[in-house]
Amino acid sequence: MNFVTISQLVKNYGTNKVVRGLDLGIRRGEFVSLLGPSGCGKTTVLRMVAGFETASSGTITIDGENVTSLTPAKRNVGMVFQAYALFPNMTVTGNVGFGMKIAGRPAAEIKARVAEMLDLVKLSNFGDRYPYQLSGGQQQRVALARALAIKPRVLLLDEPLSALDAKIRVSLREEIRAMQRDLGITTIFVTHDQEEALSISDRIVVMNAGNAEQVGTPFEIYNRPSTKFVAGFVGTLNQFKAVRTAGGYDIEGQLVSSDAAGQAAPGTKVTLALRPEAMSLEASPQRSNSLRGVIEEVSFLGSVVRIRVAFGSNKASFDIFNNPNAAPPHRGAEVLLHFNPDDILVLAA
Amino acid sequence: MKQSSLGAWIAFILGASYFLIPLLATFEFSLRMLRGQYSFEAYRVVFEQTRFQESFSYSLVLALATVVLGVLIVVPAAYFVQLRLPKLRPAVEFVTLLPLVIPAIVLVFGYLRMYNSSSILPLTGSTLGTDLLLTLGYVALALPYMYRSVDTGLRAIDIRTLTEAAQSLGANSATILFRVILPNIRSAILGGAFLTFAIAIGEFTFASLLDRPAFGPYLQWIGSNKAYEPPALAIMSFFITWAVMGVMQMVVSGRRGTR
Ligand SMILES: Nc1ncnc2c1ncn2[C@@H]1O[C@H](COP(=O)(O)OP(=O)(O)O)[C@@H](O)[C@H]1O
Ligand SMILES: [Mg+2]
Repeated sequence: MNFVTISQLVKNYGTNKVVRGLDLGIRRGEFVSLLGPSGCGKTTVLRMVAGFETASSGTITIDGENVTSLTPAKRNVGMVFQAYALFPNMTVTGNVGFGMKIAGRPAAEIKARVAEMLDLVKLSNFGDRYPYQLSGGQQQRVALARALAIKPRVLLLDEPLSALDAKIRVSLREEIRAMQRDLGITTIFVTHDQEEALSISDRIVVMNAGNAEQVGTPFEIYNRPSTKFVAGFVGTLNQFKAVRTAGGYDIEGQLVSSDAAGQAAPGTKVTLALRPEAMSLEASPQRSNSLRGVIEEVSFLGSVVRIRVAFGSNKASFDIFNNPNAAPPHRGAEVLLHFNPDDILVLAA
Repeated sequence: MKQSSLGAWIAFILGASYFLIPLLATFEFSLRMLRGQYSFEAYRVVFEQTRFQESFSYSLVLALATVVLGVLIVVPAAYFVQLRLPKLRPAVEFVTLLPLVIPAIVLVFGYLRMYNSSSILPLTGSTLGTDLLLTLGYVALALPYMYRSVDTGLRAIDIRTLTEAAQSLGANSATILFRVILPNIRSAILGGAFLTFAIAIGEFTFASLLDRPAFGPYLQWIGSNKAYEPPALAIMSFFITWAVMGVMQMVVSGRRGTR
């Protein structure tokens, strides 16, 4: 039984179809990310769940209640914006207590709840500050506390970390996830950053041009992308032009075996893809496939060394760990790259 | 003193003297009512006139009412135009500028035609109605200043996101306007209120043609009949206007730190 159900959701701006029949079910307490390139409609979906935009068609239900045509104020969902959107005229305490205050809650209750929320976001000593006296990361925590203070049924976050610098971004996302787990609150998180989505989500919805391309756990999305778009957007991927043969594929004259049979008739052109981490310079029983190539570029990045190999017109990049006792291979060297046939992803050509 | 700051000082002194010398000259003249000595006699005489007391308090009340009414009309209008009908902004801006283009005398004759005692809305038929008409007329006169000031203030804050944040916390439009938007454009409103007040307190054309005992017609009357009282009055209105603004500033920002 889903807690949030989005069905056949459509949003058009004039002739511009921004969301095209999205279906999505979210379980109670689940953390779901909408991931996709800029302009694919993530924010629009989130804003329809919040009630800031009205759906052109389709329905949204929360906890069994059809909220599709309710105003934002009646939906009881918490929203966190990329730009924080704290009320500049109110202190941290004023901001966090705002929702309860306008709901007419007793002062003592508000005070206790605000204290609890500030404790949750680790800003207990900042109650009297104004937003302009806080750093970006602190402001976003206040925004989070403010959204959570009203005990919303669903928490919505629209790229909440994009305005922060890299270090804070990582630590705050971990905190958000920890808080979300503690509270057990159903959460929809919008981001265009695949690493962010992979690291904190229970499930990811990869969106492209107003559609859900694939819905799955980070593990599934990364290792078993179901479309070329997902494969290309999530993680880095080496792609090879190949032709289907009876027992595998022909990559510019080199044959590799693959069990992913039945996908195409022999002679069909396909694109094969391999994650960088699926490739190795060392052979092993599992890595029964190999490709011969020439090293084109070696970049020393510290703990890892990135190597680019050319196989005719196809190229692949992969990383090896830095070994203090052995220099990395040098440019121009001929190498054999080994990989497991199961790791080959077959994409339409 | 460094060369660069010397230039700045000269510019400042020139600019300041442009405003201050006439003010000082007026002040000096207002002190000369008693022959051969400086005194505040002119001020005493003015204060004792009942016509001064009456017209000044009348205009003061009207000016404050104008400010309040102006804020209540302009802030929601500017807010909703910016939030919901941004395409209409140029049109609204044009309309608010009309009082600068249309002479006050034309406006007031328009009012008299629209609201005379034999019209559907006979505002001029009663004193209270006329006062209301006068106040509304002042709101219109002050519209260019009030609207621009508020509009600029609204553009300086992200009203859309603040509105949405408040909505998702359960706030309705009135709550958002009064608790979120208004407090954040305080200084812009104050700027508009200052000009509104200054326009309303000494306005002549409307008050005179609607035949109300306002400060403007009184100033005109005394200016054509006396010598020392008019400059005394000018100085007084100058300081009173500033004092009223100071009080407004205190009332508005009383509870919180400055921003
Ligand atoms: N209010 C609007 N009016 C017209 N087009 C809009 C509006 N809001 C968004 N769009 C369009 O919808 C598309 C998706 O936008 P958005 O949901 O913000 O994408 P994302 O958040 O994935 O970057 C974009 O092409 C954008 O130009
Ligand atoms: Mg977006």
